[in-house]
Amino acid sequence: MTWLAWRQFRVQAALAVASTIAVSVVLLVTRTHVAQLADSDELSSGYKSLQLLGTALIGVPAFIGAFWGAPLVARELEAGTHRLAWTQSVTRRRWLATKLAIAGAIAVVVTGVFSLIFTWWSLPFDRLGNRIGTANFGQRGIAPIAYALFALILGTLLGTVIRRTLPAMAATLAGFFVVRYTFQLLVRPRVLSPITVTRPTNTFGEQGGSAADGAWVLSAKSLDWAGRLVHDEYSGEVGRAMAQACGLTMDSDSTQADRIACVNRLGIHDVVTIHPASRFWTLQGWETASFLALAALLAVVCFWWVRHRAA
Amino acid sequence: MIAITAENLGKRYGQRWALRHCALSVPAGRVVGLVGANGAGKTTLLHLGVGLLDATEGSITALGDRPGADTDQLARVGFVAQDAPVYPTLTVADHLRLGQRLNRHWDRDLAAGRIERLGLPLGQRAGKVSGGQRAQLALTIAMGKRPELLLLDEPVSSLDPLARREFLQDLMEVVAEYGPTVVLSSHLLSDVERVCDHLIVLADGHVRLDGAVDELLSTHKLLTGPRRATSSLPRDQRVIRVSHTDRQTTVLVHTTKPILDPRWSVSDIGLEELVLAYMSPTPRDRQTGELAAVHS
Repeated sequence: MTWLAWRQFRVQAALAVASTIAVSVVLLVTRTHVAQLADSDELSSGYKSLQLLGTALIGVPAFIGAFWGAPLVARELEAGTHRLAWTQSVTRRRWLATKLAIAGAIAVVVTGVFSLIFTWWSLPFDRLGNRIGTANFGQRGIAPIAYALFALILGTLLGTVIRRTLPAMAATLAGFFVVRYTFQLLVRPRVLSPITVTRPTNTFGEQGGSAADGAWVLSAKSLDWAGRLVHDEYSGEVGRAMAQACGLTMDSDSTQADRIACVNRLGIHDVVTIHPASRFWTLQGWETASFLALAALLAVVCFWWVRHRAA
Repeated sequence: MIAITAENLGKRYGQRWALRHCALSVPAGRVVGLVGANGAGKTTLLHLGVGLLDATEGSITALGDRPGADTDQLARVGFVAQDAPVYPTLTVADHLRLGQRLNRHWDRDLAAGRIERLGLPLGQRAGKVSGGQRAQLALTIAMGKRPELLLLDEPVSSLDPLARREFLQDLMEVVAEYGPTVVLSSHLLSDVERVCDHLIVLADGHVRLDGAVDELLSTHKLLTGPRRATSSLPRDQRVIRVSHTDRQTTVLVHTTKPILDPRWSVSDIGLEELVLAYMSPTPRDRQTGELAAVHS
C-alpha cells in the first residue's frame, strides 16, 4: 500500500519539498544581514518584505488541507477508483492510514522546517516587538505543524463526506480558517490565566503595554489614585479627568510636562493584563496539543466514515 | 461448497430499499449471470458481496465469511466494478505493480502473461487505453489475485460487440483454467446465455429467480390451451405469467411434476423468455400474496 500511496502523492511531495528548500535557502542566506540591521533604518524594504513569509505560514496549512486533504479520498470517490483500491487485499483502514501517513509526514516536514527556520530568522525583529501577540503567534514555532495536520485531516474528512473534490476544497478552506481564528480569538487568550500588572501610565506614550517586554497585552486601562477609571481602550476619558482636576486639555494648549505633572498629581497608573513573553512556548504547546487533539478526533470520524459510509 | 449465501438480505439508501428480503445460494464453481433491469439492485448486491457496502438487514456471506471481513477474505474475492475503474494517470505497468503490492498472493505470470497476450502497451497511461483494454486491465488485476470468487459488475456493457465477444471469450478461458466461481451482472441476455450456467434474476430489489440454468429451463413450462381461469391449476404448478386472448390462455408455470391435464399443449421455454417473464412486473402469488420467487 505504501507504494501506491507514494506513487499517487510523489509529485505533490516533490513540489512541496522543493518549495521548502527554496524558502529555507533564502532565509538562511539573508539572516546574517537582517540580524545586524533589524533595529536600524538601513535595512532595505526588500529584506523587510521577507517578513511577509509569515503570512505564507498561515496559508501553507490551509493549502495542505484544501489541495492534499480534500482530494485524498474525494478524488477516488469521484473517479470510482475506491472500488478498485478497496477490493484488493488491503483493508480500508490500512489504505487510509497509509495515505494519511505519507501526506501527513510530508506536511509535518514542510511546515516544520519552514516554521522553525522562519522563527529563527524572525528573532531579531521579535526582540524589538513581540511574537506572542495575536498576529505573529501562529506564524512561529511548532503551532503551524499542528495546523497543517489538522487541516489535512479536516480536508480528508470533508472530501470523504462531500464526495466531490472542489466543494470539499472550498469547505476545507472555510472550515480551517473558522476554527483557526475562533481558537485564536476565543480560546488562546483563556488557555492560561493572564497576569495583571500595575505600572506607571503611558497614556501619552504607546497605547497599552510597553513594547519592550514583548508581552501579549489582553487589556489595558488607566486608573487614578482612588481606583477610578480614567481611561481604557474604549472610553478615552482621561482628557475630561485632567480638565476637571488640573484645568488642562488634551490639545496643544497644554505642554507634555504639564500633563505629566497632572498625571502624577492624580496618581494615574495603568493596570494591564498580559501573557508575558516567557509564555510563548507554553502557549505554543497548548495550541499544538489542541489542534492535534482536534485532528485526532476528526481522524476517528474519517476512519469510521470510510469504513461504513463512503462506498 | 457454497460460494455466496444471503438470508433476508436488505440494503436501504435513505428511504429507498435498493434490495430487500433477498435469499440466495450460489454453489461454488458456477458461472452466474445476475440479470435485472437498471436499478433492480444488481450493483448493490455485488457491492454487498465484496464488502464495499454493509447490509441494512439480513446477512450475506462470500466463501463462508463476511464479505470484506479481513485481508484474507479480501484476497479470496476478486472484483471488477462497473465501468472498470482504473487510475487514469498510472500506466498499465503501474497497475500490475499495484496488484502485486496490494495483494499478498499475486500471480505475476498470469497477470504479465495476459497483458502481453492481449497486447496492452505497458507504458501507456490507463486513462488513454480503449474501453475494451481498460476492462481487460481491470479483469487482469482481479484475476492476478487468483480469487476463488470473481464478481464482475456489468463488465461488457460499455464495450462494442466485438470487444464484448473477445472479453467474454477471454473470461471463459481464464475461468476454465483457474476455476473461480464467477458472478457477472448484465442486462444483455445474450451474453448471459452464452457464458452462464446459473442465473439470478433481480426485479425491483427482490430475487425473483435463482438456480442452475438447465434446471430452471426444465422446471418451467409454457401451457397453451382454451381460455380459462388459472385458479383451476393444481397447487404444484406455480403460475409465473398469464396471458389471455379471446379464446386462448397461455400460462408460464414453474413445476417439478409432469403436466397431466390433456387440454394444455405443453412447450419448453427459452432462457430469454424466461428471464423476461421474471423481470416484468407480475401479479402477486395467488396463495401467499408474495411476489413470486423461485429458488431451485
